[in-house]
Amino acid sequence: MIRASPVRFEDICVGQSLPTLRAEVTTSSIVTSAMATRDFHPIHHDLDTVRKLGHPGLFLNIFSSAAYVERFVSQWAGTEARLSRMSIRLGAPCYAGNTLRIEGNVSDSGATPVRWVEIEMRAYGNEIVHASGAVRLEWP
Amino acid sequence: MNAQIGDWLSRIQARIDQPYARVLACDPVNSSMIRHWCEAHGVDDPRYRVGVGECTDAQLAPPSMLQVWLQPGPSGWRPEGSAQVDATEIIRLFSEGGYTGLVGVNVDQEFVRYLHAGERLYSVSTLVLVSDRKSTGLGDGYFFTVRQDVFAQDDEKVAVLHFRQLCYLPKESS
Repeated sequence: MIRASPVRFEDICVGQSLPTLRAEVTTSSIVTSAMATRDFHPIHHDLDTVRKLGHPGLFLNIFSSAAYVERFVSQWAGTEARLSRMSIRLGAPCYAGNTLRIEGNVSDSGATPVRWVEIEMRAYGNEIVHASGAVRLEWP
Repeated sequence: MNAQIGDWLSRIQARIDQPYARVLACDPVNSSMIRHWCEAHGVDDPRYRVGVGECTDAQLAPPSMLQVWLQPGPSGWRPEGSAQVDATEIIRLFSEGGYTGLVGVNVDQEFVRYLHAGERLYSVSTLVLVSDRKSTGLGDGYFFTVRQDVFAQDDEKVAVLHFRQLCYLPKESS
């Protein structure tokens, strides 16, 4: 649940950690999120296809990884903050059966032209880096 | 053989900085797809909800849904008036040269503003960069970057996306 203002901009300091997000990734959740993001590539819903390609199971699509990253920063920043930039470097696939874990901290902040913070984040599928990158949030 | 190799690569290089025609979103930004997205990813944010009997125009869409609005249907369907070919064509050109492996490298999205229900989007994609042939852990290949400019119905730019991918020559499996 997102509260209206879980964190106040004035209280944010560089280096501060965000609460870790954990989500169980399953065959069912992968197919659900692939359809909800209109990614119809068989590697996100067809077990025969992924096994022929040498994967142990279905894996999360990129749009869904971005969705979890947005949830990770929004749950902390609240509904006043606006997501203005998201840069994600892709790592290893996040497979069905993995726990997706997203960690991050405030890497920079400023007040011009609007109040903003930059968050460095890292997402793991079990203990392997699935994605890493930076997100910028702005406050009106 | 060399002429053939030169052919597909020169066709790719000829596409650099040449914007493709506009691709129209299949649907306007809408509350049903927003709710499915929120449910699928465990997002509970009042900005993305609309109450029973409420007008949906004030409802915002999650910024990371950007590409969802511009996805074709499972059969590749695009609405009437939309270009059928965009910069994803580059992947097909690479596979003509044998570079059939494809992996995403990084995605950089800038959101000018949040979208709201009812907006109709279109996008213009442009191949902006193709690397020299590189040796990678997956196999030899080319990194390439596609920029996607996303506009609202009145030609207002609402987002810019850069997607860098690698097309590679799969190593022989023993």
